[in-house]
Amino acid sequence: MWKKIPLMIVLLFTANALFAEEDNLEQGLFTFAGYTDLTYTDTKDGGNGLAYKLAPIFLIQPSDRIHIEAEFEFGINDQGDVDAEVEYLDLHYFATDTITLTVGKFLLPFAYFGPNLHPSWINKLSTQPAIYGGHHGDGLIEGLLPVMSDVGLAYQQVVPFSSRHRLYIDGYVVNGAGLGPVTDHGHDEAAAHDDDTAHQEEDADHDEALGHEDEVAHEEGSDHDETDADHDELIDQLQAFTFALPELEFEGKLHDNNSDKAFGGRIGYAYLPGFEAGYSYYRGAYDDAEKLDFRADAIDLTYNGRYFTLRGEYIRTRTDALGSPVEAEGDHVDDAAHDDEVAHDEDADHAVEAEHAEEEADHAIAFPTTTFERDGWYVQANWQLRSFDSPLLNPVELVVRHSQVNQIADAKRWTLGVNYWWKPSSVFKLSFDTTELASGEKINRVLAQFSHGF
Amino acid sequence: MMNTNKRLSRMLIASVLMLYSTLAFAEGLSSVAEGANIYNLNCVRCHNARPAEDFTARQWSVVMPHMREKAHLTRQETLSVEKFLASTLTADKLTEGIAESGREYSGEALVNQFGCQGCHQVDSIGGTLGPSLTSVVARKGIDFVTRKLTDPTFDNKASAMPRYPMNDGQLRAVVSYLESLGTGIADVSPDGNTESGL
Repeated sequence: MWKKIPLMIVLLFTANALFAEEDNLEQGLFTFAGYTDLTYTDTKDGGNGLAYKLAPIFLIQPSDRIHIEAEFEFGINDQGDVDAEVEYLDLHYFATDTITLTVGKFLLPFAYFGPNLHPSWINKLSTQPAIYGGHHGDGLIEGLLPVMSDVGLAYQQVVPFSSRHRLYIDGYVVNGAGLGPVTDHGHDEAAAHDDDTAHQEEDADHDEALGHEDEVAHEEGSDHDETDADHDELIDQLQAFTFALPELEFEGKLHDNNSDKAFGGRIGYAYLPGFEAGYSYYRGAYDDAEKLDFRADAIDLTYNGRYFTLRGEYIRTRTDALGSPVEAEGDHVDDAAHDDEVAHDEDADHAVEAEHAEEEADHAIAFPTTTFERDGWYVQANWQLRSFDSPLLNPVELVVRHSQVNQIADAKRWTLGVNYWWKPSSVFKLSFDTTELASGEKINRVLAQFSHGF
Repeated sequence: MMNTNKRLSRMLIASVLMLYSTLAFAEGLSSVAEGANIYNLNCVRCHNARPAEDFTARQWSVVMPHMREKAHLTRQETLSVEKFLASTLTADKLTEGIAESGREYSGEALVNQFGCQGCHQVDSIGGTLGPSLTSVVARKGIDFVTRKLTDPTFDNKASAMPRYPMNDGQLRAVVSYLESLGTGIADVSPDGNTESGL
């Protein structure tokens, strides 16, 4: 069967060439697009801030079949410095009428908001749904994952049963997530939440454990008996393990920290323009030893009416974590303040007794693992007041969104917004949101944003 | 022998599937109206439809492959949308050609030429991005429709309706045709001739 693959490829391209339509359209080589936004945030009892972002997109079309795209993002950070980021930089090869291959750094087709709705002139609110936290998020909610882009290969196919009735197939293989950056002090700088000190310390413990894991693996290579003995001795000395949700970094890099490629995709069905549903999956090992996985799946639903749109996404993540040892009379136990600060462990009750942990331990790893499961969802509705057919109300749109994340750092957010459209791609957004954190703390904000797509 | 047959069957199925995906929906996608319909159906999945004037035809030819990947369009669909956008941007040349030919203007032919049904319904057939054209003159009045055709954003800054450059005769022909839709009267040219034809 495999020997026939070249023949099948020839058939595929021949069919495409046979039915390619001649046209007299003008052909350009390069153009420039993008978007920019200015956002003012006023947090009750928390000050205010102004942020500006410019996201130019460069598009190059060297031939009918090849298209190159690059989006950069420039913003000003809290220190007043310029943050620059490559959102995507990839090459599409249009293999057939319906199949596109992509190579480079691209937005992962996971769920719907990330690959399609995150540009501010498209996003109906100034903020992202809370489940996407992190990436250019507001820091109030610890999201399930960021809008993901990564380096690798992607396959896309559309099966157009008709102009309205379609099946979308996306798959990709990418470098995958890694552990967040660790400083010399062993703290994760990326985890800059106010209430997250304990979490950072636990990450440091985790990193130490990973280092120990490498050490043990090395010893196993030289002397198994000695290593087993050391391991048993170590286990005897331990009374319990603690587990902390690791801080993962999803930003695509050229270098992969392991040889295990992350993979995933989305399959979607649409009856245009009204209905679309999709299921997405992602899986990849994030640690150097390829023993710890991050997995996520998502369901997205969209209903487009003439004057309103209803969207919803549900995401579930499962993150493997390595236990950090707590000695019976060691430093950790003596450090009562540390235990009090372990918010995540208390929330999820993930402290595991030593005997139980031993049962679950993977003997290829020096320490036992557990899996943190989180989930969250959002529902968003927007209503265009042009339904009233009034010149005054035609450019106005109302938006409401509810987001929540569950199981570890639980949080809920309601957002209400009103948008005024100057042009189809220029909008002024005014919104109010209230966020309720697991601690019971409520945070209210008013946001104003002007966004322009060009 | 059985294995060979199985392999051949699998190859045949795979080939048919691939050919199907190439051929599916390839037929009849060359008209401007179908390009407008694809534009109407797909853009609103994520964002407001952008007016053709946002880019030149040459720029659209580079933007559309970008959108092809984002919106999962086929090549044929992408070309159809490009044709629709290009026809919008070169509407003055199209109508100049009509004027030079010395033929009478047909409102129906102009509406078809511009692909209005890509976004508007006529007798329940067409897109839903904009309001139905059937009885639009009765509902909104001749002055409103005439102004909308010459300045599409006058009542809604966010409207994606393209502005088609038309001379006064062409404008009257289109408005007369739209007026006839609500009354059931056949296409009417400005001089009262009911015959169609450019």
